[in-house]
Parts: sequence; C-alpha cells; structure tokens
Amino acid sequence: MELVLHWTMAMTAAPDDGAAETALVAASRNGDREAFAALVRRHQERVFRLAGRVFRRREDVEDAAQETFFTAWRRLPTYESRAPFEHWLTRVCLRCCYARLAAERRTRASSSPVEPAAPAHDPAVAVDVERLLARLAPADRFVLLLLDGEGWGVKEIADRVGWSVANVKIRAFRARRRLRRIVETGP
Amino acid sequence: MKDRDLDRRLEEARRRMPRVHAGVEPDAHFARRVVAALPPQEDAGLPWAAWRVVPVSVALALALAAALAVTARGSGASAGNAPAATAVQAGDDLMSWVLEGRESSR
Repeated sequence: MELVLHWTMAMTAAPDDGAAETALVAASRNGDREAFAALVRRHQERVFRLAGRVFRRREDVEDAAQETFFTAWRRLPTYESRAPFEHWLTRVCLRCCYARLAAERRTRASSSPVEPAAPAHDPAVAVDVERLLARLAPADRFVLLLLDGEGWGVKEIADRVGWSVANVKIRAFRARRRLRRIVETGP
Repeated sequence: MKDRDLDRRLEEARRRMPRVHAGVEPDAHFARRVVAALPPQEDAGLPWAAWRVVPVSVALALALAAALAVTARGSGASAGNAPAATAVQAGDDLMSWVLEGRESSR
C-alpha cells in the first residue's frame, strides 16, 4: 500500500521531475510493475499522439501504443541513462509504429480500394491529404508525417528513429517525389 | 497540371499534414491493461554484456601479454642473451645487433 502511494505521488509530480522519473525507471528495471504503470501514465499521451500520426483507427493506435510499452518493458534492462527516458521511449514508439506499418503492408491481402485523390487536372478542388497519404507506401507516409506533420527536422528524425541523417534525407526526397507524382497524375 | 498549380497543391498538402491525426487518447484504464499484460523482462544478457565486457577484456589481455613479453625479454637478457638484449635496450641499429650476435657465437 505504501509502495502504491509512493508511486502515485511520483506519478502526479511534474513530468519534468527528473529525479522522480529516474526512480521510476530504476524500479521498473528491477521488475516493479507499479513503478512501470506510473511511467506508462506519464508518457501514454505522448505515445498515443505519435501513434495517432501514423495510424487512423483507434484499435491500431492503441495496439501500437501497447506494443511500445511492452517493448520498453522488455528492453528496460538495456536502457542506458545517457539519453532522457522520454527520448528513448520515443524511439521505441516510432520503431514499433514503423514495424507495424511494414507488417500491415505485407499481410494485407486485398485492401479495400483506396479512393483516388482529387483529379490532378482540377486545381480548384481542395487537397485531400488523407487520401494522398493513403496512396503512399508506409515508409514514405511515415517520413512525411514526421517531417510535415510533427514538424521535425531531418536530424531530429534521425536521432529519434535511429536512422542516419543520410537515410532520412534519401527517404524524405523519395517520399516527396512520389507525393508529387501522385498529385500530378491523379487516379 | 501546370507546375504552379502542382506546387500550390503540394504546399497545401504539406500545410494540412499537421492536421492528419487519429485524435485518439488513452482511456483511464490503459496503463492497467498494459501492466496486466506485460511480458517478461529481457535479461541484460550475453550479447549486451559482450558489447561491454569483451573490449575491456581484450584490452586487459593485450596489456598483460605486453607486460609478460617485456618481462620475458628482460629475463632472457639476464640468462645470457646479453648482446641482443643489450642492443635492443640501448637502441642500437639492427646491423650492430647482428654483428654483435655473430661475434658472441664464435
């Protein structure tokens, strides 16, 4: 009971209370599930926000968020405190989302046909960005949503996802080129 | 489509990207559900330890080997391989060392 009260107090502390978070991480690494629950509550909104960029359906967002925390729990013993826990968790989340996207693409036998984007010859029609993104490959969509959706720079994406800067630049270039082709050619 | 229109539509797509979001928030019991279904934690494990322990071990082993080699060389000098050991220790050139070695073997 005292332990739960202690972790509840840690949980309700300001998110940037580094000492409390360090204690929660240390306890979680030792297998303390109540401490990990407190960590989940601290970071769940952020994780949902990131997963919500990549996925549309509630169940997909929640599955990706759950997978993020499962992976974080499994790999906590290898977490080195050089980087803030939030940054490490962000990387875990993005990698989980990306892996899930890639898996969805492989297992999707016949997806419901994606409605084509607005005709390319009719510039007066507003851009339906959701439909445009749906026509992109998952990897392209992923990069563009981080670049233009989250507003992250190339280096920031590289740091957070764990890709090299060159890799991010190449992916961004290809994604923008493909998006351009989709907008230009239409259906 | 004219390039100008294309650029405009691309720019509009880019401006609308921040609005692309599922708008899903965690419910009050999400953390509980996560904790209830947690898998076992991985150990730090051999691969993780290897990345850290092996380089240090190799460095120590090399240092020990170098120390032993120096010690053995010094022991060899005291046992009678004086010309070679002396030349190496004194920093003489290779030819001098060879000549001294030949002289001592006669």
